[in-house]
Amino acid sequence: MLKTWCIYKKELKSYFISPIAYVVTGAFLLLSGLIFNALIQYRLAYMAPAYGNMGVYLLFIVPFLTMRLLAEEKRRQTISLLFTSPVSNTAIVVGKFLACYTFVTLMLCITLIYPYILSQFGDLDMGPVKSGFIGLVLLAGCYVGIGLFASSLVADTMIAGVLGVGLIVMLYLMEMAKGWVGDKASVIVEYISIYRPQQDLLQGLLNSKDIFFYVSFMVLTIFASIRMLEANRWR
Amino acid sequence: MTTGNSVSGDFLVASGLTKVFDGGIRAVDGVDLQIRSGEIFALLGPNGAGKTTTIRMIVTLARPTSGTVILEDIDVVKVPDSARERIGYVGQEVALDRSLTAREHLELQAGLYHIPPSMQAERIGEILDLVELTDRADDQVRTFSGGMKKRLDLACGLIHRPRLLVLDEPTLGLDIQTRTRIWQFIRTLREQGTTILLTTHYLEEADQLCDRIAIMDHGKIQTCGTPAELKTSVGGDVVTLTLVEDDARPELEQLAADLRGLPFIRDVVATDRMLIYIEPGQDSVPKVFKSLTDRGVHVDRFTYSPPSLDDVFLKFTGHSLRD
Ligand SMILES: Nc1ncnc2c1ncn2[C@@H]1O[C@H](COP(=O)(O)OP(=O)(O)OP(=O)(O)O)[C@@H](O)[C@H]1O
Ligand SMILES: [Mg+2]
Repeated sequence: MLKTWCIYKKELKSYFISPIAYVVTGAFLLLSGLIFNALIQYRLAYMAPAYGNMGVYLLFIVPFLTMRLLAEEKRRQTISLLFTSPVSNTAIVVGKFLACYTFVTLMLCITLIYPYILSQFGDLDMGPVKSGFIGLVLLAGCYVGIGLFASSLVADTMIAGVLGVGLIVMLYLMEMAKGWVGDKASVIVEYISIYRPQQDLLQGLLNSKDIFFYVSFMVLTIFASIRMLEANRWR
Repeated sequence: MTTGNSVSGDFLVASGLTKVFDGGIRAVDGVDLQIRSGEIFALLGPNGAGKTTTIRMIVTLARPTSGTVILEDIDVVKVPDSARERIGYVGQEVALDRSLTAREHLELQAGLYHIPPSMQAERIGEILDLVELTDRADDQVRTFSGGMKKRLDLACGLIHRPRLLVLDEPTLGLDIQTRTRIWQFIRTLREQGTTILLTTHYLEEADQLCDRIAIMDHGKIQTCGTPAELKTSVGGDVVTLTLVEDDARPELEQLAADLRGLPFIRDVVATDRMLIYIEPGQDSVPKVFKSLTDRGVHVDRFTYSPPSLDDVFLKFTGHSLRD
């Protein structure tokens, strides 16, 4: 527990001094600002379109934040400091996951200013805003998990980033393609899709089943990353 | 803390340690090592000898294909976590995060080895003093010179006061001054009771710093002992000759074979120079010169010395480490 905390602290700190993290945050805020600006232009008093789009931006943004988590340590050999210390693979992976997720969540929190501004202009139904935001945070967690897993697979930061985007895009395309695959296949896609619950959430329907689904998905990616690290630790 | 040394009094015992990589490379091939408590022990060998691989198995970074490593009373392969508590490891490449400061590195390490927060500051201060980085403690590693990085790297391996400190090429690529300084740290640590296992391909390092040396080549330990023992094992003194280039001179190999037959010569090795191992005794050297003159060979320069570790190396591996 204490060791997870140590790794968490160190990782989070390195985000706050990393230029990449700032560039990525800046890019995300800029893009989501543009969408928000469009909302104001069209005098739309709801956030759903903005959150929908932000979910897509995150697809490209999050892997930039996760790519170095394990791949960079492997490339720089700093991983051997962790591997020769009595710290478990679980502590390493969980610490890193939580650090990145915290950073991403903080970044998303900045965008809370948009619904606040909207609410100053007119009547904003807060229900969908709340559930939409929670949905976005949960989706981001899945991205962090997938990106971390990609980072656990390779020892090159850039490849880890590209792989992360690739994996998420694959899930995204699966969702897009479910219309034209057979009925049975689409049921499966539906069942494992990280995008399916988003529609409900954007409309203000927050249910514990979806939250449970997202959390399970994150746990799954964390578990997969731990297994990968195990394979790396003893070669 | 355990002190349950094995019966023989050895601190670390590796037996039949073997590592075969995918593709069939036998990087380490049946290595046996006995390291005693409180000594500085070196694995000396050329590039690719298998030193790093041996060490990686000892520090739980690589799983042996076969063989065992016993540290005090624990089996390193079976209970890696207890071994990790007792081992400090500093790798061949500097392993630091450029964007963190020296202190942040040490804080992380202290946390990983669960040193209680109340003790951390003091311990980190001590270590920084030891590696003489106190005044740069809060600077990012990217601003450090190579020697400073290496010292910080060392500090990271020391934070939990390991009983065994394992250093892979601790002075590789450092200038003489920094090297001497690191030797000094290593000696200080030994005085404080730490056992040290290091690898090197510097002869002087093995000779001057280490209590015992294992010479490693092609994945095997060729011989092992104190520097003095190893040198004695070569026997006799060494005359090293540089010969005058001369058309009339016989081929070096031919000449070497010829000289080997003489009673006062133990062995001759011809590379670019000619090394003649002579029997101890007053008149051996003059006899060498006489026999050379008899064969029409002119000597350009010569040195006469007791055997060096390189001579030991040459004897046991058939090639010089300096080549
Ligand atoms: N991960 C690996 N996969 C395959 N072969 C490897 C691996 N690591 C090392 N080797 C091979 O094992 C042999 C021994 O390498 P090792 O790094 O142990 O040598 P070394 O004595 O430390 O050399 P150096 O002085 O260059 O550090 C080499 O032939 C090397 O190519
Ligand atoms: Mg090496």
